[in-house]
Amino acid sequence: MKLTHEDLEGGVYKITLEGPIDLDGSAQIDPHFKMVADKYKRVVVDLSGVDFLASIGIRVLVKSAKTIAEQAGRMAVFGAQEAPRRVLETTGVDKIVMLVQDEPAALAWVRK
Amino acid sequence: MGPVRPRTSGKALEMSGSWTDLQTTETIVLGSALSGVSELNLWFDALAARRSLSARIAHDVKLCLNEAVTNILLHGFDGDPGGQITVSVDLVPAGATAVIRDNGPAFDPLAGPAFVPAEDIASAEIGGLGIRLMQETTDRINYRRDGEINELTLYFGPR
Repeated sequence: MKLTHEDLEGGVYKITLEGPIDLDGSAQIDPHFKMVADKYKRVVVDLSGVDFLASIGIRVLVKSAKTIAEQAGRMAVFGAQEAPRRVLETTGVDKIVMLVQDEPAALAWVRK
Repeated sequence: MGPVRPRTSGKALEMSGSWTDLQTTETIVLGSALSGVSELNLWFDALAARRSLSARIAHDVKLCLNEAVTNILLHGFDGDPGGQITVSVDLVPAGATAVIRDNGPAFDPLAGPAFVPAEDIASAEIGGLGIRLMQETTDRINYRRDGEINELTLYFGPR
């Protein structure tokens, strides 16, 4: 599991994930997501490099989105491959976490 | 705590007569360390490649094995060093049957309340997603307690 990040214009924090988000992958990214959720109000997450997403990884995304929303912030996820997207839809997470096709759409939503 | 008995029968799916002729079973035994999920995934990825599984069935089986084994490791064993999980997978060209046996406390994942999707992020609960995924991704799930062993059988039809 690889996590990279960058600060974008307008106070947006971008996280890019690569690899499987299974039990091990989620343990690797969870501390970073906790830190970001406490500190940033505009976060975009690039899932295009994630080929496998288990529920333990969804929990990381939902927890972060919830913390950010509680601070009147916004988090958007973009670029999900077919299988991870299906997992997000099956669990109904696509209805509570903003899931969009690409980075411009994600940025537009968090900057609203 | 009793020993884990390895699965010996591979004829679990009766949806198609041709399947039973082609079945073979592959098995991995895991301990109670959390690294077991990574070990499981390496094993399954190699198996899927070796058996030329379609991307869809390979993903669905791997996802459900992850959900079941992660749940056992985190909630069933809870660090118990004597925990053992045996995962057996029967693969055929059009589907699969997976059997997960563990020697943790009795736990029927199908006995919990029905999954209710959250209406918004503020009311979202961080639980129950793994069971939901297994129920929606398999064609059928059976659970039984066999002495000191939990046995979960997952059926994957053609897709």
